[in-house]
Amino acid sequence: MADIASDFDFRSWLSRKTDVQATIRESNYSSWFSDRLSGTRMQGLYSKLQSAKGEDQKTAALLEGHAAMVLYSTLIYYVYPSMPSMKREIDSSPELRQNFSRLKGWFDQNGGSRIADDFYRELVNTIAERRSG
Amino acid sequence: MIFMPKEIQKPEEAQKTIKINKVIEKPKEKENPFMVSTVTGNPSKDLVAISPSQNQNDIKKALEKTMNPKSTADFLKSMSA
Repeated sequence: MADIASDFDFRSWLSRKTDVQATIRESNYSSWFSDRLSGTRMQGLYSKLQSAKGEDQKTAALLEGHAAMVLYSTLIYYVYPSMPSMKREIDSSPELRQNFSRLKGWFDQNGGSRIADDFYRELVNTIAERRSG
Repeated sequence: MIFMPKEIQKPEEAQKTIKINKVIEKPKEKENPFMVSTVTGNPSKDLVAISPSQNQNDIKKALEKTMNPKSTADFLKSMSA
């Protein structure tokens, strides 16, 4: 199974062109809960936010962080419950399970699936507005 | 790439009822900004995916509109601890 998360960059999430079918078939969603991605990568995002100079840099860092929030909210509340293979992988790995619990704990106390729901609702509305405009 | 529940509604219906509770029909990729597929390749599964390749500006707008700077900063700080 390919580990697309190993090359995952939250910022590139906005611009990457992807073979959707191939990526979906080969993706390992569990790897987003590795120490490197859910720990080190998140520390990097926070450092970027702290060191941002000016509103533009700060907004860009926040958008990247928000993209991560939407992604993890989706993985935790929609993908994980619906995908037995991902659930098995996370549940059987102390590293993945611990990071998953840490993230889910934060989301459970701070909006949970609403973070993903709000984004998708707005995305659908944005696309509909553009297409009708 | 974004993953979303299949129950998201069709774009043309979005302005009528903004609720994520309707099933999207699998579109033809060339005709729809949504590039949709199931996670497993099985249409009966309940998750679909869309690619930002055709709608990255829409995604950015949606992120900007739904972002709460304080919440995002808190999230990053908490995950960095």
